[in-house]
Amino acid sequence: MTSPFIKVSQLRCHFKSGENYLAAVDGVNLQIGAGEVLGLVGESGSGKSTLGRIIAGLQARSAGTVCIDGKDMPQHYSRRQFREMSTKVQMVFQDSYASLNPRMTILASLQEPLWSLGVRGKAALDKAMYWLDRVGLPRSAGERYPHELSGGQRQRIGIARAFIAEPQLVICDEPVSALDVSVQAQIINLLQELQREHNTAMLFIAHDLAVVRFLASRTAVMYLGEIVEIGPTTAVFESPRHPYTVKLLAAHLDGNPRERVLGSLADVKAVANKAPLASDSGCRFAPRCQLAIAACCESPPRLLPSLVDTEAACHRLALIEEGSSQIELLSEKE
Amino acid sequence: MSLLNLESLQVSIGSVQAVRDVSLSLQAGECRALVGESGCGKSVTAMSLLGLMPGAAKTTAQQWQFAGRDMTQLTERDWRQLRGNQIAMIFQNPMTALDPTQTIGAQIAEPLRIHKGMSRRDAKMRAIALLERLAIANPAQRAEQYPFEFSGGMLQRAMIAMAVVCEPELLIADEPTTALDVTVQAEVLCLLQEMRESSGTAMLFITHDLGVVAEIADSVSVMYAGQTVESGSLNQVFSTEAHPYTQALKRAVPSLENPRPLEAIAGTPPDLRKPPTGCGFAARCSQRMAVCEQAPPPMPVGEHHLARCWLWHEDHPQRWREKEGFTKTSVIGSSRS
Repeated sequence: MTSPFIKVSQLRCHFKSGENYLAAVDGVNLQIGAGEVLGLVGESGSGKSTLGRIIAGLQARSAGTVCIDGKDMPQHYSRRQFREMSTKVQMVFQDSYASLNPRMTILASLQEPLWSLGVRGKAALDKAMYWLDRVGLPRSAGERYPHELSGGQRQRIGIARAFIAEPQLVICDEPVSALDVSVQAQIINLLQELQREHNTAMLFIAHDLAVVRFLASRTAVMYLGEIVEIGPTTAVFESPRHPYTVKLLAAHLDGNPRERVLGSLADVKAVANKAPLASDSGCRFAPRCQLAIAACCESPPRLLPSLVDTEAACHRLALIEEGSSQIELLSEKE
Repeated sequence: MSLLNLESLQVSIGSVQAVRDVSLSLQAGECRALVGESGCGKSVTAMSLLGLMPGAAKTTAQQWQFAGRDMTQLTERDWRQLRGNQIAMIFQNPMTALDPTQTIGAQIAEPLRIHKGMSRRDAKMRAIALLERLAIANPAQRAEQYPFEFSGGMLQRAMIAMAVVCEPELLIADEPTTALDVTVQAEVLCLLQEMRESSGTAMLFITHDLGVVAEIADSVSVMYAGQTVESGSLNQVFSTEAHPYTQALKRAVPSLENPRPLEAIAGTPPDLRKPPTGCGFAARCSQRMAVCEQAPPPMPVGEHHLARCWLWHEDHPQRWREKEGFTKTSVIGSSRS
C-alpha cells in the first residue's frame, strides 16, 4: 500500500440534540488502500452508516478531513465537485427499494450514472445490457420497474448501478441484511467477484460478523462514534483485544448445537447503550466494561498498537495483552 | 400426550396457497424452531395457530388439537378466551405491535385483567414485578412510560412480559430477535430461556437464523414453499441434514469459526399462486431425479426425523447401499464434496 486511496483524519459529525451535541462520529482516523476491502462492524447507533455517508459525500462533516485519491474534499460539495467525486466513490444501500427511482425502468436507472458522465445513446445502453448480464439478470428485466423485482434482484441492480461507472471505491451499507439467507450468499459472492475483477476498494458496513470475516481483509470495530479496534481481519477475529470486540464476538451465534454459548453470556446483561454526547469524557464503553478502572472514566483512550498487529483503544490494553499471552502460554503447555 | 398436534394444515388467501401442508407437534415445555425464508409460510402458520387469520383466508387441517381440544371447532368467542391466556405471541416488531397511546404497564396488565379477572391495582403490581424480573431498571417508573420512551431491546422485553404474563402453555415467537443487535439478541434469548425454564412453557420459535436455532431449540422444523420439508430433533437436523434444502441452507450461511466459500442456492422459490405439482424445491435442487415430478410425502430418516424428499424413500438406491454398510453421513458427505 503506497498511498491510501481514502484517508480520513479526526473526522467528526455532531448533531444538535437539545442542549447538547450528539457525537455520531467522533474523531475517526481511517485509511483504505486501493483495492482493499475494509469491514466496518458495530451495533446500531455506533455511527458506522454516518461514517460511510460522509465518505460518499451524502452527509456533511462537522470537523476533520476526508482525502480521496490524494485530494482534500470540501465539507460541502458544489454540484461539479460532487459529480467529480461520484465517479470515484459509489454506494450500495441496504434498502434496494428506496434507493431506486420507482418511476424509472431498471434500464434507465442503470444508465443514469453513465448519462451523468456524458456517455449516452447506444454506448450507454450496451453497457447497461452488459451489466444486466453480469449481475445475472435476464435482459427482459431491463424493461421492468423496481416494484416488479424481488429484493435480491433489486439489490443486484443496486450493485450494478454502483459498479457501472467503474468507481475506485464502493461503500456497501448493510447490502445483505434485508435479504434471505439463500439470497444473501448469492449477493455476497457477486460482490466478492466484482471486487476482485475490478480491483475496487470497498468499505463494507455490516452488523453480521461472519459476513465481514468472509469478505474483508481488514476490519474496524466501531462503538458509539469511535473506532475501538482496527486491524487485519484474522487478528481482530482470532485475538480480539478491546473488551467490546470480545463481547461482540461472544454474542455471535454460530449455529453449532454442541457449543451453546448463551449460558456463558450472563455478563451480557448490562447498561443499555446511551447516546454518545460530544461532552462525554473517558471511554464510552467503560459503563459496560468489566475491566474498567477509574482512569477509564476520566480520559478517552487512544488507539495503540497491540502485539497482534492490530490497534485497540483501551486503557487496559497492557493488562489484556499480558493476560492473553499467559493464556496462550498455558494452552501451549497443555 | 402432546400439547399441540397439527397435521396437514392448509391455508389459502385468495389465489395464494400460503401454507400447503404443514405438520407440527409440540410437547409441553418443548422449544421447536420453525425455520424458513420469507414467503415460505412461517408467519401464516403462526397466525393460524392463534386464530388470527382474516375471514378471507381458508384454513383446513386434518387434525388440530391443542391441550386436548379440537381447534377446528372453535368459535371466535372460544378463541378470545384462549388467545393471550393459553397461547400467546411475541411479534417481530414491538414498535408496531404495542399500542402507542397506552403505557407499557397498562399493556402488560391488560391480559391479567381480562383473563384472570384481576383488579387494576393487582394486575399492575404483577406487571411491575415481571418487568423487574426481565431486568428493567426502575420498573415502577418504567411501567408509567409509553413505548416511544423505550429502546428496541427494552421494548422487546416489554413484549415478552406481555406474552408471558398469563403463563401461557404455548408461546409463539415470530422472529423476536431479528431486528436487534447481537448483544441485545443474546440478552433477549437468555431471558426467553429463563422464562421457559421457570414456567415450563412450550415455545414455537420462528426464525431464519440458524445460529439462533442451534442455541435455543430442542427440535426443528424446516419450511419451504408452504410445506414442512424436514423435522426432527436439533441434533438430528443439524448433524444429518436430510432434505437437500436444509443442506443448501446450511452451506449458504457464512460461519465465523471456519470461513469457507459460500455456496448460494441458485434460483428463487416457486410462485405460490401456482405451486409446482411435484416437489417444491426440485427446480433448485442439485440432487433432482425424475421422480421429483411427483410430490414426495414425508419419509422417515430416523426416529421422529422426517424429510419430504424422495432420496429417503426406501426404494432409493442410496438407501440400499446404506443397508449394505454405508452410513448416512457418508452418503451426504459424498454429495457435498
